[in-house]
Amino acid sequence: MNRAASLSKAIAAEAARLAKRQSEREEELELVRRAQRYEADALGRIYEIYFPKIYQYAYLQLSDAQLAEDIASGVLLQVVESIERFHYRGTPFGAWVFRIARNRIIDLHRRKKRRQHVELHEGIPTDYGAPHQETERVLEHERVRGALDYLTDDQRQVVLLKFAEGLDNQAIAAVIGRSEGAVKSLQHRALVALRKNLSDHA
Amino acid sequence: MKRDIASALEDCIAQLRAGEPLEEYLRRNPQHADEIRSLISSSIEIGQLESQPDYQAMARGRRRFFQAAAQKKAHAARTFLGFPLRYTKHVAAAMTGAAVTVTIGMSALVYQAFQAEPGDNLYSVRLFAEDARLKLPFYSEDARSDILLGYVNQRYSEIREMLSEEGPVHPAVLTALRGNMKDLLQTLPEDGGSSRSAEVARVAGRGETLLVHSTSSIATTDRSEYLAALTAIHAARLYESDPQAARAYLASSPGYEGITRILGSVSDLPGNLIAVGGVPMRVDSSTLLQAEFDGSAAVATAGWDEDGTLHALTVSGNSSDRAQEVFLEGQVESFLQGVLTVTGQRVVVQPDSVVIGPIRLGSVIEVTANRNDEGILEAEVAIVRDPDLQAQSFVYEGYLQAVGDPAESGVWQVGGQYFKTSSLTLIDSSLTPLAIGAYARVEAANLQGQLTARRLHVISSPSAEGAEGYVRLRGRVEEVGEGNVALINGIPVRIDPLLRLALVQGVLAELEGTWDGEYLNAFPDKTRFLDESVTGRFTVEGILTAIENDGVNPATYRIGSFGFSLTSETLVTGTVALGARVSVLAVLDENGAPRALRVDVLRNAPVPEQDPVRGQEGPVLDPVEPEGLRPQPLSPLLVA
Repeated sequence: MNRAASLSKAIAAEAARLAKRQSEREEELELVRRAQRYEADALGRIYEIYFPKIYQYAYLQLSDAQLAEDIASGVLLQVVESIERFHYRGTPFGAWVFRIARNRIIDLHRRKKRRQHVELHEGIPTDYGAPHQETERVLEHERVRGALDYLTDDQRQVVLLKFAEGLDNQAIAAVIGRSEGAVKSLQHRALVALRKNLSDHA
Repeated sequence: MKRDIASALEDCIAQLRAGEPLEEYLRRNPQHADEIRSLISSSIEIGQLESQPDYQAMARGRRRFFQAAAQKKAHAARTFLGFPLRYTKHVAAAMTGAAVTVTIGMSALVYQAFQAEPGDNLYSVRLFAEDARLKLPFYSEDARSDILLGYVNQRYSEIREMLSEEGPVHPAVLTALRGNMKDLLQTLPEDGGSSRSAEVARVAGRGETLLVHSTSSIATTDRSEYLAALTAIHAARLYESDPQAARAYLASSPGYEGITRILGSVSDLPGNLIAVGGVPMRVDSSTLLQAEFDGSAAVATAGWDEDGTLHALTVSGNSSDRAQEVFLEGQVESFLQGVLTVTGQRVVVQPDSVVIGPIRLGSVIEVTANRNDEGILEAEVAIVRDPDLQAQSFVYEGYLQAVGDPAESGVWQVGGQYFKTSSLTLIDSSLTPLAIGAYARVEAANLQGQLTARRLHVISSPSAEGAEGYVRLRGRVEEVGEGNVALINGIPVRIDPLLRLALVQGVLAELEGTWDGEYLNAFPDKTRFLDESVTGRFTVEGILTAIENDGVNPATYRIGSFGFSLTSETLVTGTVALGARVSVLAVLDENGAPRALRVDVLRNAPVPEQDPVRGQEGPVLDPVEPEGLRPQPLSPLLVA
């Protein structure tokens, strides 16, 4: 009985989740359709949603505020440039945007490799908080970010896109070019590795 | 059935996102509970990694984003060879089909296409068919020249037709004209002497008159096309007297593909911009940069992009120390009242400037200039490279925007162009009165750098449109109001909604548009923001929405999304409280953040309502939205 009730609850929750996701997709598609007609408020909404997300996504991988800004700015310019060509074929718009960002970051890494210059970690921008709180925040931030460095690239992409950016498995699969099953598996392995790295760096 | 840990973890994450507490989920699903709890705790640490861009980064990106969107929108609105761009694939398909049909000469479509006019859907097919015809193998060089001459004449007829209908010249026609003219010159013998040479020159002269006549129309569509077409015509005229020089001119002309050369000090601008000799230009990964951005001298070659901005191709350091000296090479874009515009730069021609050759619109010119103490370029030497290539007189039409004294020499403005009248000017206003807003036709000549009217003919009396006309405006944004209106140089300007979102007070704007009697309506693709940093003082007025203490400054005020820090030197008048309407005079500090110099309370915050029963404060009233910008009366002389 308990098992049946539990199952029924899970099915209801899953149905509600799917309905919510469908509704969000439809809203997003409508937003994209309006942006494709260059309606200012739709473009503004896309900018406000994605610039901070891409900035964060880039910053957490590059640890460089200027590079993160360049990446975010470049991605949004490419979105404007190419938005007319975006057609929804099951891949969410967000995944399309993050895919552009991921490609740009990969290009940046390739160029960096060729130039072989030394990276300077400058810490995160400080907007608020007293100095000692700020220092603690930076140290904690660096500890977690440092733990990400020990993951494989795919694992790192999965945890960043899922837990820092809030994408679902379908979108992540589209960004990194893997199946949803592979994403699920990568997620588990990434969290296991991350737990170990975090405890090592504690 | 026992699920694997990866699936259990995924299910748990999904339920947490749906709002179920972790412990409740683990109670329901005790399998792997400890493992999942510890993995979820690691994921939470990732979720807490937050790095948000600061206000300045968001603003910089937003401006670039909306400028790109506005350009893209304007580009999309135009048509490509007669078709909207989004139908380019269909155009290509149609053109491919048409090519096959032309080759076999059998289709009614071809007949229809050959009748198509600019703006018709089949016009692009017509151009393609014309091109395909030339590629057929059985034409001799002479026959090919004749065909091309016919095409060039046809293009001029189309331009004339569009001008007579007071519409802008279609960019597809100019593109085709440039191609036709280039191909035509290629078919002519290198040593000249052909009977066709005089005909080519005659045709070129006809085109030149048309294009000069339609400068303002073309400026509203595609400036680089105009320059390119003009250069092709110059080469055609030059061909009559010196065929080899004409070929060399086409091959090396800096104006032909819109390439220009600038020498001057190099400085870095925000974003992907640099300035050489004060001329802002875009740099990107294709730019060959071999210069220091420290004010030292360099030579830049740059091309005009579709949006009318310069795009640096090469920037090379120059060993000589000539930072204050600027060398410009390009086509004369305007020469009005002693001020010469070359490559977008204004240079004042002084009485002691050495000028070799007559300066006329479209001429290719080399200018060596010096920057005076006020930052204005003054010509030292100006050499016209093609002194014999310009028409002496031309005709244009437009709305009267400024009227000089008909009895004496004075400065007039028609359709955005300034010109002088003299005692010899024939002013014909017998049919309609001479007044601002009247539609007039001017026959003018370029006399020693001054456009001087020979005849001024008023065609129609002032209409409801008022002094509508083409206007170019440059100045700092003084206020940004609602309804897409900004105040620039005291002139209310209506801006494309996309660009409106990118506007900030204090930014230097350069734009072109039309004056409708109340607002200057800026063309989106001709609106540029020349610097990304706000310099000098600026004022923001609105409802105070937040007062924050950031631990460093006494306070930060917010009016909507705009934050201003206050220092001990900030002068505050009135009682500051949330919801008050305030005016903030601010500057940017060394970090680029707005710092308030003075805060004036214009209207006190609404008094909280008292709860009549308990005598306590009720809810605070919502702040009133700022009022829209009121348009200001416009001086008849719009542009200094």
